[in-house]
Amino acid sequence: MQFGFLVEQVLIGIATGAIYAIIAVGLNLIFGTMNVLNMAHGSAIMIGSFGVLLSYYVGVENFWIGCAVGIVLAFLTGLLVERVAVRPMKGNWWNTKIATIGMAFVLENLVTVITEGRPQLYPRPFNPVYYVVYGDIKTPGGTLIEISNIQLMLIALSILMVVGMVLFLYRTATGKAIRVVAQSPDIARCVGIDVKRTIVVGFAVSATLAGIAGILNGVTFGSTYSFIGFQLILKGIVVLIVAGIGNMRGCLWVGMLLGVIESLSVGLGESTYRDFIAYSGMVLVLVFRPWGLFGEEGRVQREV
Amino acid sequence: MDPISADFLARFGDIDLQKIWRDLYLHYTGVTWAFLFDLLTDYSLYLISALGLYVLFFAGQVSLGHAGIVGVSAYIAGIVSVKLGLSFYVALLAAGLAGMLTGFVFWYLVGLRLTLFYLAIGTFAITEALQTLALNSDYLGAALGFHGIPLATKWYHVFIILGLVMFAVWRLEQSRFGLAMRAIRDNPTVAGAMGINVARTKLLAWLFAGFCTGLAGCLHAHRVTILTPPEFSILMSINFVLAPLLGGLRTFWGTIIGGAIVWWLPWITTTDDPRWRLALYGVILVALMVFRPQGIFPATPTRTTGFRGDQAARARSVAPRPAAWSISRSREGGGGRPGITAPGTGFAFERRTIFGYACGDPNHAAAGCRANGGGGCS
Repeated sequence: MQFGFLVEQVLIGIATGAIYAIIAVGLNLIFGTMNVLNMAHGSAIMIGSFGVLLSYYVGVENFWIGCAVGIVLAFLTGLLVERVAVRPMKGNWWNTKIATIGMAFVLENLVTVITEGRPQLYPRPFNPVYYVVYGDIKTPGGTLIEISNIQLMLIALSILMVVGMVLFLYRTATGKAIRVVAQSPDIARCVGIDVKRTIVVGFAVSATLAGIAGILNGVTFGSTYSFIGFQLILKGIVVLIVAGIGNMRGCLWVGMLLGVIESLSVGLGESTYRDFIAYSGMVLVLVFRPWGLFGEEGRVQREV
Repeated sequence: MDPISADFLARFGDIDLQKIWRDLYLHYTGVTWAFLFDLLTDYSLYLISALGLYVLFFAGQVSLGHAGIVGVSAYIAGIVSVKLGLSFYVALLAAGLAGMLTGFVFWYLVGLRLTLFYLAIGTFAITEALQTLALNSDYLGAALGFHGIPLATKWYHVFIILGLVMFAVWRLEQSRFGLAMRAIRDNPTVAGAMGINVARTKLLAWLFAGFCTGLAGCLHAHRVTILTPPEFSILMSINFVLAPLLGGLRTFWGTIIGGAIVWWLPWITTTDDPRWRLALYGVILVALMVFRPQGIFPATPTRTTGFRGDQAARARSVAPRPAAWSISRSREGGGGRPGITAPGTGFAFERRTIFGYACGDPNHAAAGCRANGGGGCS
């Protein structure tokens, strides 16, 4: 096993792990605000990624305009999910879970009908350029570590987004309101926070993040399909639980760690054990530290 | 079907109405009794494991990993009857025991330590891990599936076992264990303080659910004759959870009705494109959750939805309320409800019925029966 190969796998893993981290941050925000798991988060991811394709289909062949369309569509999806499947449940977590799963069924199958279920090719924002980090490209067989500008963009964006989320939650008034609502909606109401509005804002921000994650995933893998969200959200749940609910920085580290583990397990030839590592790790965390590696301990007992 | 009318309809657009009509017509008329009976058998098979899950709900446990128990027992049944060459009944017993063992593992790993949301996620994670293991095991056929299981499940096996399971669940509900399970579901701490062994009762629920589900797993394996790991995914678990949830979380018959919805609705709404069917299924799920949040046959009348709302409503109804309050309120002319604003014209009687102390006992009228914990007098 070459050293360069390993480093390359780690870099790829960090880039995919960044997507998991963004998804987990979105889930975390909803769980923090509402104490429910939003299973329709995946459909926001999917709709975000298909928004880009929609703008190409309409004729606007610009990636960045497509991004804007995708993010706006994901944002609207978040609002729709909040209004239809979350607000009427009034915090009952089982019902919310089933209703959001129902929403995910509806949206994902509608997109399946439109796209006929085929994976769609995805445009690239710019041509990938591979930078040589280590080694010499002219010597064949030598150690060579490369990283593409798309991977760099992914890593930078995800770190930026997690830092942005932390700042949003801890520095702005809206973010603080979200944290208060997460602690206790009744007390939030007492101190004059508009709980309903705060929840809507939480869903909007979360769905926007999901849309961005969907676009990044499409760019990374070069294609997207209608059930991509459901695949990604399961990984997002793993990251959320392992990191601990309520901790944004933890999501970043665990997401990257999961990405690296997965990419190493693929790189070392044990690709079928990829999911086993993730899920068994999650079971271990739930058994020994149910509040997660970075979470607050009191949370599990308090949970509905 | 008259072809002329179909042609006439087809002129209204480029949609092939004739084909749609024909498909629907065939769908609803071309069905045979044998086919319906087959669906009924499938539904009964599904109900066996759904009732196992209902027992878990009954004991305050939740499981989003029921497909894992089904999967393990189905594979064990397959191994017993294919690799070991033993009879169907031995496989049935082995699958039941395997289901119990899986239930024990679930109980030990997550059921003992976690509650509600975390428990659901933990069971889900274990199931996914098991699924990946099966996907990697060449002995179990890996991704190609486990072939060659004999088609041994007859319809009467399914119905007899369903009858036995229904009887067992019904008896369990009324036994001391059932009472203990209900106590744990309502409040584990208080149940423990009352002398109920919480861990042991939970274990019993898991073992019982595991056994029922294991039987269903064996019947399933010998009915479909091929097992693939992706079949036992979270979607299957969600299907099981839907039965008690749609029908009414805490009622036996609710589970059966909910299972009927889950099982028959997709068939009734079938179109020639299954994707529309799934979308429609999602719409119905959301609508049911919005309009019947307690299920179709809730155990208690629908009051306030949601956990917090529910708790608040319970707190309100249990809180001691002085009987004089209503009278003084009405003398001031406040209120606004009919029966309060007209003092002396039978309002006292109405207030009493509203607050639930119309038991005829004058002492109670003064103290308020509700103050003794709600639910009227003993």
